[in-house]
Amino acid sequence: MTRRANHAVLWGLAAAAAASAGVCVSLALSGCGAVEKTADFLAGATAGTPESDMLRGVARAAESMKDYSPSQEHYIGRSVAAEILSRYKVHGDKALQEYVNLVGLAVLAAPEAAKTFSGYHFVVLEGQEVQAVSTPGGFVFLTEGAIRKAKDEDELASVLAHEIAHVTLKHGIQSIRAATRKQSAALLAQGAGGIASDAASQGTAQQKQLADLTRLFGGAIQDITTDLLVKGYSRQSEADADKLAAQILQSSGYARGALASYLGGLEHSSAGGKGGWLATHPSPQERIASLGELAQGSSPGEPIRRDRFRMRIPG
Amino acid sequence: MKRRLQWKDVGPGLGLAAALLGFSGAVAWAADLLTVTEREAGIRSEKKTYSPKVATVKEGDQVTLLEKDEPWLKVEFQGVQGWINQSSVTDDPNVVLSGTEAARGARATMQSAAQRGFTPEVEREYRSTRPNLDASFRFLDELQKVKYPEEQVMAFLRKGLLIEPAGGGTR
Repeated sequence: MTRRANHAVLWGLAAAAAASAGVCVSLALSGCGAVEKTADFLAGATAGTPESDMLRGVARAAESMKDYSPSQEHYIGRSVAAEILSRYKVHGDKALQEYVNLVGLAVLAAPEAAKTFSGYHFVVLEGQEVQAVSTPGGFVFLTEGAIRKAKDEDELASVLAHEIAHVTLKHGIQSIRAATRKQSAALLAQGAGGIASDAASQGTAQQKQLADLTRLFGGAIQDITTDLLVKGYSRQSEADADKLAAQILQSSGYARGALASYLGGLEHSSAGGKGGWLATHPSPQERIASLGELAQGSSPGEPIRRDRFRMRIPG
Repeated sequence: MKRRLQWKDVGPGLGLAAALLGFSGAVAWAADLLTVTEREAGIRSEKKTYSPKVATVKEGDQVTLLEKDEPWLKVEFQGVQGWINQSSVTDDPNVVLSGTEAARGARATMQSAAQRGFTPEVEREYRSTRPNLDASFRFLDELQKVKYPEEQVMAFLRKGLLIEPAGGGTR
């Protein structure tokens, strides 16, 4: 299939996805914290049964894993990405999508940016809210509002670099490990015996395992999607991602100080509301302070890149 | 009474030593084997992300580590030497690759299933339970088919003065 044909199919599907899912639904916290607190109690109460042993085994496995492999991260990330896409509408400007992908690929010239199983994909979403989010495996989403807050290409690159840094530092994967543990406790609370007998009556042991895994990971996927869009990562994770983003910018040739410059623009503007990035991240002021000397640094060619940014994104 | 050391005296010992050396050599050799974890990756002529490819490797291919200059690794694949980003490979011989699920069959325990993580099979099952995500998954399928050729990326870098206009200094 040619690239032009690919694009035609792609944006047709984008429209279908948005139509079927609605746009930017409001999200409620899952309340799994309570489940997590009861995990030990439940495990103790049902100790010795095959079901509790199985689920505690799953929880321990999920928690003790050093890392998921890149292909595992990719498939987790795809499902989180599908959840995100069900809540936003993909922007229909193909030239804008291509430009943002090229900026992303330019940022990825930095060798500090981790490679992913299937490469990175950058998707512009509709909406004036300032929002940018990434999933394990390298699916990066940002709203038109987040792009319009950038004064030039280097500042746009800084938003992408921050999201690439989250992928590189595996912040999403760390969240899925915790969410998987919560889900195993939730399954235990619901009565694992029911799962076993239902599945046993329906098919083979392999199908049963698949059903169990799907329940386990499916709940975790929805949990971390909500966390990404509503709660965000910890302050420390954000500070780490900002610092790595500044290094990535410098290595790729963009201005190291572009992230602080972008954050400064967010701080002094109320347009776009207080949701999205402003709700899920520490304050711009705190982030700039945390960057320290990494908040500074220019790059040759900034005026040229500003001009092509303005051609793509008229003010 | 002393007698001269004869081959029959030392032969078995040397054989054992040789075997041990061979074994330790094999261990060292195995430790230098890395497995590619990207679906497809380039081995590069220089320690730069977009420098020319001297070879293309696929997930599961094994390359031999020759030299480290983190995050770059000098490797050899099918007689060709070049550089690859360390995040494209692993030294874990038990790394979970995509497409290996079916071969494992139903014998795996639940715990090992959890360690296999979110595989394509789990995704298919998940999709069947979340039909409202079908259009989103199909969008992702098409999104992954869109490729930006490295020549296009290089031209973009040059025009933006992110690399030298002459083409040198790629990162």
